[in-house]
Amino acid sequence: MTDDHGLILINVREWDDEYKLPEYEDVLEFLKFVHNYVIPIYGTKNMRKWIKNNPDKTVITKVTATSIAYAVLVYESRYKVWEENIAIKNKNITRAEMRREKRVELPMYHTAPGTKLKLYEVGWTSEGRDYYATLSNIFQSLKSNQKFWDNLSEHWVRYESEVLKEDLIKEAKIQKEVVLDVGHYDEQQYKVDFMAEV
Amino acid sequence: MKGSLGMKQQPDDNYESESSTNSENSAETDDGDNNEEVLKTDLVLSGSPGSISSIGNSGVSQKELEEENTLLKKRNASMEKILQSNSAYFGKNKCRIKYRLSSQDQLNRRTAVLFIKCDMFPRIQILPEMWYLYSPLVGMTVCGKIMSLLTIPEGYTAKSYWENVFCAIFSEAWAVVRSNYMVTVSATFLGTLLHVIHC
Repeated sequence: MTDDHGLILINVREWDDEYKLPEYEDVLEFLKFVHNYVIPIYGTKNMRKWIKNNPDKTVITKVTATSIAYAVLVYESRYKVWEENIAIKNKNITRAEMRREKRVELPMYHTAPGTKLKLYEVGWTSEGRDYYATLSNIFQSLKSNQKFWDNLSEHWVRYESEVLKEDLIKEAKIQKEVVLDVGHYDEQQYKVDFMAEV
Repeated sequence: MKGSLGMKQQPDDNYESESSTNSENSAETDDGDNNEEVLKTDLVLSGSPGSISSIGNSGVSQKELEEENTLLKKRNASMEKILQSNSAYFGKNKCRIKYRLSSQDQLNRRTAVLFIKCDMFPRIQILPEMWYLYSPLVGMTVCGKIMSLLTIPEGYTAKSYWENVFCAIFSEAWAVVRSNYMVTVSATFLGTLLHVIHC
């Protein structure tokens, strides 16, 4: 997902008015990113509620520039730490050993874990704050471009239908398994004779 | 008529009226011999607020009123306990500020958490550097916006409540919402990584 400099969503970030409107494949990564990393900011329950109340709108219209910027900031700041954590988890060691394991990677725009902060300090570095501001400006300008954002929401509809399809297939598979399981139990065992004399 | 069923509930306006007039009223409704029994049954009805007026009307002694008062206080304490035990946020850490909150603070805290989750965090993800300073501007600052939603308990001004109590509560609630997001995202990252590996 990241490029050589550890940046993500470059093709969307660097899109300009002079370029053509992006195709579905060009923005697929961005849509996946919104689905996996931006929607949790709103909470999946809240988002579902909003979708129910606004069936004619897409998630892309709801998402704010700052929320995308924050998700990008968190991802770029932490993905190396997460990778390291996963590598340590895969070693099949105990929890105590896991704690003792040496960790090299640190969050890019955030203070290292275990740092003592001042009262009510948030922990983001000044670089992180600046980067967040620039990112939110970039996404704000993209959002204010009506053509581009409408195009994105059209692509979102397609993405949603495809993801939903996959989910439906999964659900159907699970239901099949459940039906097969249900067929095994002995009906006679659970039969209740209402006419029997007490 | 005998017993509590025979008592007519007096309106609340009569609560402050003198006992002598009330005894006359009760004499009109009941026989004079039954008055004492009626008073005894009133005291049994200690839990209900309606019984306060009936006691006031029937001229009960100071001691009995004190007893009634202690019973009511007990009831209030138990209600507060119930309110605190119903909180879904209680975890393992006993040192956290939420264990030292009154019921009004708990209610305010819930309001703030709901506001942070639904409205604030989707719009502002990184708090401004001096967010903890008090300011009464409603639409302009974090403090102003939050304080406009809360009920300030008696004995506090808005400023003292923010500085002494609610700033810490807000900070904790914010940290919870933020770290929940971080955990969700890291789990998603793990999931996508596994998906890539399996594919």
